[in-house]
Amino acid sequence: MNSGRPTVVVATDPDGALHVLASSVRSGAARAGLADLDARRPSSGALGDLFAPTRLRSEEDLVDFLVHLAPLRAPHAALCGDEGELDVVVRHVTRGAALPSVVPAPLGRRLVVHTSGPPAELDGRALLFASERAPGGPWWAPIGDVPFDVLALGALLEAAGLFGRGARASVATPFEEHAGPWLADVGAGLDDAARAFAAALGEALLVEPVATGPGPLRGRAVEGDDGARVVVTRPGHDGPAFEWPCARWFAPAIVDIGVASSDALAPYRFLLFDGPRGHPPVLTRAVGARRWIASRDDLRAVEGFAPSTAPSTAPNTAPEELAR
Amino acid sequence: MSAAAAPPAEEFVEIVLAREHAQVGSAGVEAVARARVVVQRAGRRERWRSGGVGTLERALEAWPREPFPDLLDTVERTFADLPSRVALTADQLAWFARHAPATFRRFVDDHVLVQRDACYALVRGSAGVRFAWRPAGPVRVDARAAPLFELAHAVALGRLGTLDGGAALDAEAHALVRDALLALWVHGRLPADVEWLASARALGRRGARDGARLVEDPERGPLALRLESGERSLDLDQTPPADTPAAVVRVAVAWLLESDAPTGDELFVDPSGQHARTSA
Repeated sequence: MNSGRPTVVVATDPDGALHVLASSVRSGAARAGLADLDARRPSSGALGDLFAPTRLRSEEDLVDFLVHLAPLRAPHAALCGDEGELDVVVRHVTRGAALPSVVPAPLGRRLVVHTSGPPAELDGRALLFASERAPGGPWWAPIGDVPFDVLALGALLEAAGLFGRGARASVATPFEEHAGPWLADVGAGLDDAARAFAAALGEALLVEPVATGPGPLRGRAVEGDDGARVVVTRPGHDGPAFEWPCARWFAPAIVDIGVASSDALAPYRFLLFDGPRGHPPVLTRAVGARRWIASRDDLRAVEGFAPSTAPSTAPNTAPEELAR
Repeated sequence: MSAAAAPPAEEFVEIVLAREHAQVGSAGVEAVARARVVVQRAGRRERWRSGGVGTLERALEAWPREPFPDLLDTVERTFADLPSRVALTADQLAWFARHAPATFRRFVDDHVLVQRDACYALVRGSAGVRFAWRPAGPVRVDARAAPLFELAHAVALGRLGTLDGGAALDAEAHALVRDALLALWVHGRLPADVEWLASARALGRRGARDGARLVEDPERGPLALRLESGERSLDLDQTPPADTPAAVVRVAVAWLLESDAPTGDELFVDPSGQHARTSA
């Protein structure tokens, strides 16, 4: 059902720009009859273009992207007075502005945009993480309505610098208000204190690259029945210890995030939280967003989704330039 | 080059050329082509071999290589009492016109020309293009108006004309129109460096907000385009020829815009669009 509809999976960053996580592949054999002439054009199909992540600054950019994704209609069909509607699917995994439903495309055609939310498997159980290699810099966002302790872990990862320097969240967490006064209390140059604080958080999360040597602050994680707490202390001081309750995590998942932050080809990751409904969620895996989307059978069956990174299973095998 | 359309004669001798290009001959022979001679007389159609059978090899040869125009002399001498016809494809006729003018002149003057295989023919030159349907049978050329081909040829030559204020169009405007025509008519895909501006219904070069734009004009027609550059504009007509298959239009536009030297040859396409030959 619905097979062959061009599909694009997007997320909105804190600035309101859309990031393309995955998209259908353009088929070179869409027009039967002649060999694909696009292949002769030297500018097309460059590997860099193919894999480059795409950031769309406006709705018009999204329409432009969709028009490039879909095959153009035959000009002769336009002459026949054919309506020429084309269904495209935009799957929005984070919250963002509503998209226009019908937009004009070349040769008098109309794109009918069907917008849908995140897949049920992710809804409320995952964070989206864009590394510093993503266009526009690092950021993260919750997918659907996630529990507060999951948001709290996201804020902790951000503060520890795992998403890259200067990462921003598309949701407000009270982490800053909570950590700010404590840091001011530590004093001794707020920049140094912030750096030591990030190192201590990394130490608590068991992140080796971030916790470089013993700093003036120490961090550790305390696991409980319904979640975890990160505690930061100052050795030799009896002052207040910083405490931050959040969801629990598996150490290998944190390692996965560290690896992902330098991956230019796959800058978007889903941080997946498992555990039965009603039980406290646990961060178990960080997986490439493109790969995860491409591997979902339900997406392919329901939306006619042709994954852009699985050439062995994709029905269309001639990906071409999609990115700018 | 149209010959007098004679009614199909009951009796005639016909020189049929194989469907391949002839070759330039040597030592006084203008051209060499694979051909057979067929005599139709008293309701029977028979093969005739110039110079007899000769060798076994010659007897077995389905399409012997024959010298031109010598074969015409032989046939005229042998069958002086019969009207003679020459059957060949449109691209072969164009080849003779270009490479064997003496033979071509005798084809036209002394024989009824019969075209094998119907085709569409597109001729381009420095003055413009001519597009025609050429049915099989006695040679006939049905010219058809093709504003799309005129436009593509003008773009290939870099002579799109001037904007309404008299300003000449630059190379970037030509490149935009060229990319758009190729995308719309040939590839069916927009290239990455051409963007679609949905609010203006226009195609433009990506990253060049002030550059030329190709705007759709639905009020003038479903395929009407207007090239806009600054305050000035130029209406473009990309109407395809009538009664011509889309596959043929596609091949013709690709040939006009993508071949190396954009003047002075002919394209012949069969109605399926699968088989295209040039006169080169």
